[in-house]
Amino acid sequence: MSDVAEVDVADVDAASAVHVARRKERRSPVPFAASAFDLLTRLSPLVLLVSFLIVFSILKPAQFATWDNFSAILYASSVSAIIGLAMTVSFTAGEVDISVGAVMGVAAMFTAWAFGHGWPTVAAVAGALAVGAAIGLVNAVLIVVARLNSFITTLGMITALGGLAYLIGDGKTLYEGIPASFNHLVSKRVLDLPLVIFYALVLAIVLGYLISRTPFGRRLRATGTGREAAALIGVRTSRYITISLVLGATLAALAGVVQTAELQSANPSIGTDFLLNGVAAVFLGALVSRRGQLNVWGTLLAVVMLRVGLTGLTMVGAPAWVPNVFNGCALLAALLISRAGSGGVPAGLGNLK
Amino acid sequence: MLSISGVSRSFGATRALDDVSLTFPGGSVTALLGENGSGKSTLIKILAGVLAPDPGRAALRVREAEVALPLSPARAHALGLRFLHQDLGLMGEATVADNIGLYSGYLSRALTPLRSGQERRRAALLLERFEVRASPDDYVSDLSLSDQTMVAIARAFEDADGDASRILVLDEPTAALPDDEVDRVFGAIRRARDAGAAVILVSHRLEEVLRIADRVAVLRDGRLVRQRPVAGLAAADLVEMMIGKDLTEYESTPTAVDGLHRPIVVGRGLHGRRLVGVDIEIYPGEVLGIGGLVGSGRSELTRILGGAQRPRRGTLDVGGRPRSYAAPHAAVADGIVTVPQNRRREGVLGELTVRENLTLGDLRSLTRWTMIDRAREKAEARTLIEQFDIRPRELEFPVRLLSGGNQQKVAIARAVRLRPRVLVLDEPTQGVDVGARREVAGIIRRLKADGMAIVLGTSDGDELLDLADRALILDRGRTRRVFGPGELTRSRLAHATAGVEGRSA
Repeated sequence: MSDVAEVDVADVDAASAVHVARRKERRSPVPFAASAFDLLTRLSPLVLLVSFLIVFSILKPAQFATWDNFSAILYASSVSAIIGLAMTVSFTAGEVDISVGAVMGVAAMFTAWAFGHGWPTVAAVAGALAVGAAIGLVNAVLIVVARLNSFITTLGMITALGGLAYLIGDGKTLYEGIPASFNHLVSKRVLDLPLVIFYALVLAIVLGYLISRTPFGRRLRATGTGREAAALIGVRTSRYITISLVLGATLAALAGVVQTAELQSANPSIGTDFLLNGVAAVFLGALVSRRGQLNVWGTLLAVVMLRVGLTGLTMVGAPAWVPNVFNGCALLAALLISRAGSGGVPAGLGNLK
Repeated sequence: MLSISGVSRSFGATRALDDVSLTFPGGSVTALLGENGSGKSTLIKILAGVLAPDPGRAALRVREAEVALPLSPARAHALGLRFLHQDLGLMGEATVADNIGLYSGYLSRALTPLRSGQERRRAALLLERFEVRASPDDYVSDLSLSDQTMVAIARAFEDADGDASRILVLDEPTAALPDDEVDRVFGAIRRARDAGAAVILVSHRLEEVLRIADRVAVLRDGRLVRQRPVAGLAAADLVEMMIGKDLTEYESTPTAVDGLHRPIVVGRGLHGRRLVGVDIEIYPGEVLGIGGLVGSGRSELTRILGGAQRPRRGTLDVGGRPRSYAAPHAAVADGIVTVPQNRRREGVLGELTVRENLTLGDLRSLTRWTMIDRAREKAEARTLIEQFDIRPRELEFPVRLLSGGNQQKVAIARAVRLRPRVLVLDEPTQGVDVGARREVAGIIRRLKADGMAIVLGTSDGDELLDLADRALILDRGRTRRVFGPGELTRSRLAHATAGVEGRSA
């Protein structure tokens, strides 16, 4: 029996030695090269933004480097920003809702249709948001209750909603009955900037607060990054997935409403362009955070960065195919950078891998 | 206190729990014992609200009050149940403070601001009390396994001292802990018990059970065998209760390890995530058993042998040449073929047919120019189906529709088709029925007789006794015991696995 006890003591020593070694390994400062690379990854959206600003200001000083252009870029970024925020919400819960662009299209058409039928502004807007929420709820039922894959489900939804948008306006562009006052709601200038910019900003502040400063946000993120463990310790994951899908679709509908207000018309193909731009912004935005987590401010920064790039390219006379290539490459670049940075898929993206 | 009565749970045709009634009184530690597959995990999952018992007369009483089944995780939490799950239930991509907040409830309401400072202080206090080497802002995935365990333990024990209504369910809390931390956990268990909490402890380490438990409840094959106070029991008695009165020793099988053969594989000082300096030799014509619990490093060792993982340190010689495999196909080229543990995910391709699964490992030999010779492929597949008695005898049957046992036979047949010198099997009979177990055992014996070396990783003691010529028992990454030819007996094995020396071993 005594030699057994001795073996045990040796075991303890060796085990704790290993343990201590492991701790040291973890505590030791990250090598400079690795931390510099990490920092570069995190700064990459900002670096890109600044480079775009400098390059295009040099190439087109009279057009690009003006307050009017600055204001126009932000104006054009606003709808993309709202779509990007909508995606950030559902992605944070670990569900890939790619139907936000299509929801936006339906909501835009619905708003125009409602004005055409003499609805007052409040009713038209509320109606469009309700349509968005309802679509989100349908997605949630399919994903949470019927347990369908969110990517495929919302892919199907895109096509179905495309048809619905066509149905609402019988395939035509709707513009009748949209009052000028509706346009003023987004384009009226405050501090020499259009009002819609402030809407997007307020929305970002509210969502940023919800996602990163409240218990609600922590549970949402837990649902996205470690669903099984989250469910095991009592997080009501189904509820959080549902909320995220409904909230995301409602925000997408808001983007549609804003789009109709900006254009004072709506056509069934609105929204298709915003999808890829939004996905790219969400993933580029995740680069900004220390652990590659999705975050509202990163998304916003990426939206503006992409818009600056696109505007600049248009100004220097890039042909019509360039924007699509630019958006597509931006998305791929975001994924590649985050993979190189973390040695794998960004950890914070959880279920999305 | 908590009591259950008449709880059953079936999975298909197997009854994991069969009419179990148990009481876990407050102010005492009850050790829940049983071999693998005895129903412990199922019982714990039912208490945690992640599994529902079979409908019927199952009843649960918590502190004398009837509680409706099935529970939900939130309901279990509200009733004062706290869990340390075997996979810890921690979120890697959240901080320690958040893992505590997510479990025990945040200090603020859902949509109101987090009181970050207070949350952090609460976490820091808890970590300090249990001397956990982690800070509230650490991300859990950055911590070592033993630190993660301590975080999960601290979380489960929060407020347990001041609250007599607590029911703590600890599933193998010490599996990944060095001994000094085990003492700390035991201190916490005693404090909680003295405060009146009911503690349910699952542990395979019987010496720990004897140290800490007041009562034992023993499950065997889904049934309650015994519940009684621990006083007066020795480890050997517990082993006997767990494995049953039937202590017939298996005949140990003759072995080819006779000093005439050289080992095919020699591993020295192998280190991995779990493994700490394990030595291994594999001889032709033997079955080398690798025993050990979940987390002992058993699976990791089979992965290293099969080339699915590189050892962090140590050497691996195959056929006298040093080897470091980057991927399984490199090991296959040396004649080491693995049938992995997770059959559905890694073993077979469910959507493909039996024929496609069988021939997938080596299509080159069937290919002429660029085309697969269908006739030869079918002929080979048919031969394997006959040889390994795969049912139904259908070439074009999707593998996912086969029973677990037949899926396993497909996986083994595919591996054997590659004519390995060493066949590595990790838990080959996990989740298969008794008949298929016997068939797999028959296959292993046949292959051994043909001179193949077989590495059998298993947590099932019976399987080791039945099949292994020699065995390596791992515990927390180290070799706990090596059994040479003829040394393996039921009681010695049970004692080695439980971490105690047998009285008559």
